[in-house]
Amino acid sequence: MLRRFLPLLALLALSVATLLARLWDIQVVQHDVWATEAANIVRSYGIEPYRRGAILDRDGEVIVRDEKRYVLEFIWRDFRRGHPLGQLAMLRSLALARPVGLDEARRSPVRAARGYTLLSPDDLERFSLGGELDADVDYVPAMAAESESGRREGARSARRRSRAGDMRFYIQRLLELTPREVKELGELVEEEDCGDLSFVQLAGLIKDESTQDILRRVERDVEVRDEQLTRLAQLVEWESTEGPAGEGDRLVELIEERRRAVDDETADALFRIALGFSPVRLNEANLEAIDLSWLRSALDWDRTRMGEWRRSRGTAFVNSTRAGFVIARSKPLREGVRDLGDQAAGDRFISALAHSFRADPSGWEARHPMPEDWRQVDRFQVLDGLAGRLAGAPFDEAQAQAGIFSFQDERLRDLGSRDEPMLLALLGDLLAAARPGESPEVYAALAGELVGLARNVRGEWQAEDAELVEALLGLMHDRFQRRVAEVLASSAGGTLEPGSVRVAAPWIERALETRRYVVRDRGARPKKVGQDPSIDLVLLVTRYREEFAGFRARAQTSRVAVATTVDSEQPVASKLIGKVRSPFLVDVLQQRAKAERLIDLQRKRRLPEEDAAEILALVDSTRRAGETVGGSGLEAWLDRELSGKSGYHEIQGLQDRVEGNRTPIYRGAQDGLDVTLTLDIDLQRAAEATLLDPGPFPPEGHTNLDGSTDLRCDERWSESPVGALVLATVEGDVLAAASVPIAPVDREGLSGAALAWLALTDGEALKAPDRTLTRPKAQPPGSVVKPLLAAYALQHLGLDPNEVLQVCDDDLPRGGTSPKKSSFAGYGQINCNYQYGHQEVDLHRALQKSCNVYFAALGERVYGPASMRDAYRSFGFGEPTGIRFDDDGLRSGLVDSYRMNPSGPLAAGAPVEGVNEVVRQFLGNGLAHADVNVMQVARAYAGLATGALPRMRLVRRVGDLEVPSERLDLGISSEHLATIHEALGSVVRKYGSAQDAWLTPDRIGFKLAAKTGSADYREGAVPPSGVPWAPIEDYNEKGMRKHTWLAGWFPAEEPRFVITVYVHDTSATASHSAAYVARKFLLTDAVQDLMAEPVPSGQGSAVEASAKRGRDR
Amino acid sequence: MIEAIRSTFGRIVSTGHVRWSEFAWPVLLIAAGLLAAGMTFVSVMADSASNPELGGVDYEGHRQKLLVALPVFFAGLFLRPSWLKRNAALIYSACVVLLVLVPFIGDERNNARRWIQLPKFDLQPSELAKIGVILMLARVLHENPLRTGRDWLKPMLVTAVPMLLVAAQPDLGTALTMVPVLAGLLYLAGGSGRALGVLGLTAVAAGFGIWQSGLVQSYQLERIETWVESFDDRELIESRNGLGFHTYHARTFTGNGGLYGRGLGEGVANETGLLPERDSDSIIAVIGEEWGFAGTSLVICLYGLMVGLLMFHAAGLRDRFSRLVVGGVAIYFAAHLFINVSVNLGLLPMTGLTLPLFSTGGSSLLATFLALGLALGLSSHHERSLGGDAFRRY
Repeated sequence: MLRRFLPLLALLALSVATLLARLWDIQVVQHDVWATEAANIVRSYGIEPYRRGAILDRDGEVIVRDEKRYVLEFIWRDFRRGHPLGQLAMLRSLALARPVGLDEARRSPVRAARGYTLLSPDDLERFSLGGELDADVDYVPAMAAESESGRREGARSARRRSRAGDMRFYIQRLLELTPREVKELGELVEEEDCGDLSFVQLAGLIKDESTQDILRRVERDVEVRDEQLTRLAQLVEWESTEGPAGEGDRLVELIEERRRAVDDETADALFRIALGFSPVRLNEANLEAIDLSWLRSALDWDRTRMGEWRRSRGTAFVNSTRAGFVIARSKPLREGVRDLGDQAAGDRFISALAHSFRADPSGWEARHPMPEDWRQVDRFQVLDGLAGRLAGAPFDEAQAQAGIFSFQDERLRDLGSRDEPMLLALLGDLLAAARPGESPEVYAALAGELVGLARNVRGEWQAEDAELVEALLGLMHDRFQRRVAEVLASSAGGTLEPGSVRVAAPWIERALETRRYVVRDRGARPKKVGQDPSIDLVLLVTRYREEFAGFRARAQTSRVAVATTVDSEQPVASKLIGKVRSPFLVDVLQQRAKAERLIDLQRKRRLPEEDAAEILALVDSTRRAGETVGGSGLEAWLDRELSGKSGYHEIQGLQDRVEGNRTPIYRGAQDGLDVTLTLDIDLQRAAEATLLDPGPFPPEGHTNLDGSTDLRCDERWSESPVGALVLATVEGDVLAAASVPIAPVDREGLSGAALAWLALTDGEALKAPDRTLTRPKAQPPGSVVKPLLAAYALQHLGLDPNEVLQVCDDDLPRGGTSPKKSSFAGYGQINCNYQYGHQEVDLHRALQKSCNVYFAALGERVYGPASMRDAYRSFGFGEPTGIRFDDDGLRSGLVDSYRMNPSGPLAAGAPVEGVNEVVRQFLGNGLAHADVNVMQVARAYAGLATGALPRMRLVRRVGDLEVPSERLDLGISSEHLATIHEALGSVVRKYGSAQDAWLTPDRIGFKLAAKTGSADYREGAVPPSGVPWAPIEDYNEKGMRKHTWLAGWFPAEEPRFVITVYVHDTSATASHSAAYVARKFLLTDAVQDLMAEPVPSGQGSAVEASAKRGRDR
Repeated sequence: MIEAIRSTFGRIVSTGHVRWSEFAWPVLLIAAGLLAAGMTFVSVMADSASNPELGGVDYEGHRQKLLVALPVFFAGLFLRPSWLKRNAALIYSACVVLLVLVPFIGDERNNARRWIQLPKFDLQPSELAKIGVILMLARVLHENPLRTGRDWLKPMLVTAVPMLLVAAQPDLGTALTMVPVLAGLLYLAGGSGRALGVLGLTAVAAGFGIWQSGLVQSYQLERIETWVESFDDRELIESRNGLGFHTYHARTFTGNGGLYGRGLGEGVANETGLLPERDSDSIIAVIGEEWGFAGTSLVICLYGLMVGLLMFHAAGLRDRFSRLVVGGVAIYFAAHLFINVSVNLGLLPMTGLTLPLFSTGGSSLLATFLALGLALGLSSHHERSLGGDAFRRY
């Protein structure tokens, strides 16, 4: 008989030999591969976030910094397990097989708790077999069936056993049974045959307490925990007053919303497991066609809830996020040209669109930083892989994969890329559908915009871009859905009815197998319910974790404004300091390849030094989740200094430690550098407060020198002011730089009167750019340029200050090259600012009165084209202010609008002959052809005050490194400077142009030397003469609106500080607008305190210093 | 009354008929050694740091189940062959009934219904069914000359019924272990090797045909594709978080063992607890990691030796029924060894099957002990027999 066994023994020997050979292969030959993998399983990595540098004021006081802030989060899994309300909602949902919301469960919690704890294990057993369940508050009838077996089958399909098991769990949680007590309860039921006793009675037996005591305790607990929920809600700072009246109800409504979101995500995950794609890839009609009764049953949803989920998912594909993804994906690579980075922009855009529909987009993204060339994309998500997932008629693969989109056209694929024409060829029909009835030129322009969008490397897209891309996507989505519907219909046997497409059973089984894990996983994901909760709330949920099960306060780093501006959460000088932001989507998408490389390196078993260095380099160059970057202002300009380096460490497992394969990498986080500004928080706040509330105009109790009331001011400007103010030291350190509006104004919140006024303005009152450095509109300096031109002419053009250049009288014919008839005194094209003229004026009087005739004549006669350009340039106009230091062309965030109007005669490169006589008449008065920003004027006046033009400085120090301060000698003698200083000192005194503005030492406490200036801005509505408070209806719509200025320095004799005020779009002249703003600011405590500060040693009269420099030369 | 019970009991079991001098002591020793090794591994797993967090390995429970299973071993050891032969159909029927009952009274876990809840442990009838099939096949084949088609059909039907019931649970892995038992016993019973070869080829061709026809469910195809891809280590590593999760971890930990292993309790599988079913279906991967190629190949060789010795003892038995039962048990152990180790080494697609004597699991222990007891008892239980082979010369 051994004969028969021998072949079997031989087979056994062969089998053993095969196993040993394979074992040798894996354990010895491939050992390195698997040992590496094993090491990776236990090796982990940590990224330690750095602290972004703080921004400090000149005294070291913090303006903004990174701070740990808390976020209040809700975790549904913990809530349903640990809070009676969650337990009751779950119990009732399980019993009724429909979602019972927290709000519904809260209506009768005590009765429900009593009803369910009085159930017995036998009740649940009967329920699980299809029997009835009576929990007082809820009654579930027995399943209708003709036979017991039919009932059991029904119970099985309704998952009653599983539901009963879960109900038992929640009842035990409601009774607060410990694991040991749960075990004892199980033994009592199974071994002692106590299944007919209620859970409360069983708990009584285990805890050795009376049933009534336990019941009372459960009921009290339900009430107390509900009160605690209300207490928690009272500590939440509600942003809106909408919703239920009681705080407790509002909190429950909020967490119910989060719970529903968790349910939705759970359904998404199960759908994805069964169908292989996300439900958002289908529209509502196609979703409805698929039989999802298994999903409804798995989640214990009713039809209504299912319908809500279908609706939300069916409309989710085309939204701004998706459009944003397309735009971001179409942008070229930031670093180097790899993969498709060198594609033409149009190609990239089509590829990005195709990517939105392709099969396995995330798989591609994990390996490539750019989307695949559209010419290669043929298989689409949903249709790819659907074949094996559906039950029913055979799946027509050819139908599913036949061409859907125009980019699948073979002829077009053979064409080279030509951007706009190619886009038109491929997307023409979609563009026409997106913007019906337009001309071919319009479609070409739209295609051009899309190409431009794909070309733009920096910055993000605008709302209108997203709108266009969304429309394209929507149209493609519709077309795609029609094909999906056809394919589904053929699978369903011809017609597409609701629920007619069935998913193959194994895929449903696979989804249901993972149901518990998915429910657990999604439920465990925290959902945010509140930002910056109070410390009381944080303490409450942290210390009393069990009472507030389901709530968690999580610390996160936030950029916090410590020194805030008036009545706002914004930091002072918010527009200059700027904001931080999350990295742009394009950066996030394109760094995936780097992330993959990092993972590859981390997984290596042995790590040479160069790989370790590459790991650290990759950590530095990829943004971690939650990291912020400078988005605007100084935050962006100094982003590389403010940003630090994340720390990195590798935690090795036993294997690495024993084998010593790799030296563990550890690098501590390097915090960003602190940046110290020249700004002073108090002065900045005072400047912002002044600009925000500049009125009343005229100031309270104010009278003109002659005792009359100022009837030439502009009340309406002070109600919605637009303007700027800069205060700096004469050395160029900016102490305050404010502009209004501080934040964009929402048109929605404006009153009818405000809207009526807004309709008459240029709309700037709604916008909030920085106006100290930028120049949103044309911004001529007006008369503030006169002293500068005078000083230049005295020094360089031999101007005699005593010479009378032109008689300024309305009775005299107007001199100059282009006289015109006018009742005004004037010179050539320029009217004098005083209708009847200033008679005979020399330089002193011309400055004091701001005589336009004198300076028009000066411009035309004394200046030539070259000298006029040189005079402007020498005072820094047309040149950077110096605020944007260390500009290497890669920094961004600070915008310095220093250039002249590019089409104007002063623009760099403009022909010098363009500065003709008439132009010079205007330029002599700072009108029309010159554009300056507020910082430039402050800088020029610092130069005029001291004889040396400083580079303006906003940042004093970066880390320990001092930002150098520079000044350029203007080469104007102290004698000439003194002439100008004397004249400007008289401007604010009696007979000066600002005599009525109360800027004299007895009013403001120190001597101010200043010049006012007004420049025509636009034709618009102005109040009737002498009636500043007139209703809008009475306004003269053909009036002239102006920019007005005040620029000067103080103290007048020993200049230490320069001030520039700019008032945008007003009907009043500078003496009745900008001068009042300056006065209000100079009277603030901050400025008064500044003047009280002792003068730093060695800082004497700037003019004296200038004189000394002059002598030295 | 007592006498009647004693008499009945005596007809079922008998200690007197076991010839201890002819007892397969080496088999028992090897089995005890393998069992001890298995117990040691389970004990170490239960003590590993990852166990409290990831749970699952309960050494105490395993020990208790072993104590419950021990009497079954002795019952098998002392059962009279004549009684077994007479009641094989009854035992087989009982197993089939249990299998039929599973869909109705069985406990559903992970969408499969394989267990019947008992007070101390859950019974998996499919494990017992394997023994039932061996006994019934031996009963059917001991007087079956396997000459006509009908002769062949009977044992096939005997195997097909429980196989289909088990496959429907669904538990295709366990169902397929019955195939080598059937083939082996058909051969031992005198079936023509050529006929068996033709049958095998037909089965392979049918399988290929089904695969090509598209009747195979796509998830099953996916499993096969995953298995094929798993031969490429890079593909397997890529699929580590998806379908290849189990295969990847089994391969990684096995490969990590190297030549001499990382030492008992020092494996990453135990450190992390990431290997699914590491105390049952994938225990060989843990052994591979901690004992390396040297220790694991010793385990496999000892296992093979035990099977070989059982076959050797079976070959020496005059009683055809006993010979077929012992041979069947040897094939049962061999099939489990080969399928279990092959699955963990990636030679076969992933399927859940225990490694007897090593793996935890009450039903598996019960079946293993019963099978071992039967094999050892029958191989030394020389009752007088006048069966078909009693006078044959060997």
